[in-house]
Amino acid sequence: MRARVLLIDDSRFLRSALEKTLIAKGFEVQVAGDGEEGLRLAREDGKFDLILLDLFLPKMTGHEVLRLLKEDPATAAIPVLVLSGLAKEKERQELMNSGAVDCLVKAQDLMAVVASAERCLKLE
Amino acid sequence: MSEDVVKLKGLLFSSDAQVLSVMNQVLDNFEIETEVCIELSSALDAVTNTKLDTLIMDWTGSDDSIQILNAMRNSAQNAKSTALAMVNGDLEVQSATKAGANFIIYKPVNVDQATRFLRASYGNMLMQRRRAVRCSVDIPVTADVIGTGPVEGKIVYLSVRGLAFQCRHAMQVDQHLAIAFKLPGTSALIHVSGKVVNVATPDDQTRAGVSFSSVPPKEFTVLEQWMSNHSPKLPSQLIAPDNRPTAS
Repeated sequence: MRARVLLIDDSRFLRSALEKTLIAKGFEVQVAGDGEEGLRLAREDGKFDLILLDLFLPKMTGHEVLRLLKEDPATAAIPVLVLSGLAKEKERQELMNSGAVDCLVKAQDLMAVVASAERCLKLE
Repeated sequence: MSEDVVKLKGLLFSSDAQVLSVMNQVLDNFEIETEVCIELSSALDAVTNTKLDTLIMDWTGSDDSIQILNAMRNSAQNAKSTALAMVNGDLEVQSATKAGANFIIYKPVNVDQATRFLRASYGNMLMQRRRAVRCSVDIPVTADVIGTGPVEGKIVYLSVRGLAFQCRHAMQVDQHLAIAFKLPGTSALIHVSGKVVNVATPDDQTRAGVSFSSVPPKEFTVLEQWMSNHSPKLPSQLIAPDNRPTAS
């Protein structure tokens, strides 16, 4: 069975690039363009193997989405890989303390994001 | 922009999140429908199988960039499409230009720079698209085929670069011919000469693709105008100044 990934990011190009590449790697991918939609999809489905979450989102920030995902027993166990525009170690630690499995700098090569997602899914 | 205006199509090849973010804002303003690829295989597939008006590449200087641009230049439908390369330095300028890039921009790119960059190349994209447009027609003609003589048939497709001539006579690639025809709905007579560049045989007929080698300048202008009036509408102007995105 193919691993299922939920990608929450408001950048259409980034979403499209990551979605296409993850599908080519054999994953099943659903996408959301804002925090509310992402949270709704995660709650309705609840069977994602990984969530890729951008921090700066319309309607609801990535921080809020992460908190609500981890508070909800239906979604708390889903690993969340955060994509952040910031590279500070302190923020990375805070996000990991909030339940993220890792925090990646969004400005880097997207292939590194794909590789991290693959690593997370293999660990699962 | 009205609904019947055809959007230009582009491919953006980059795995740099900063580039994707900037180009997302800019390309939306130019109403260029863009596919994004971050991997070689999907980019090669797109340049080979999709009609593109522009290829915008993060020129990494690697073989991947050269391979993608070569594939586009070797594809019949995209050979003349506009290629834009985003480079890191002068060495990459040389390799991108040598590989056939039409426009170059230095990285890191910001919204203002990328807007100017797109603005400079947009006219080229529109010109190439207009030249590539072909109209379905049904014009009975007698072609004067060099070495064969008069051949009756009809023109079934017409563009400013060539036509498709359908007949019941065998035709061969590299044959030269001359045709005079009236543009439908007008009294304008167009005299063209050209060379057969491909031949197909649908339903026991011969369909020869003819590339024009000569059209009198005044008649070419009439043909261009007629094509423009009978083709899907393209965006007629560049991005309006008040729609210009601001730098972020």
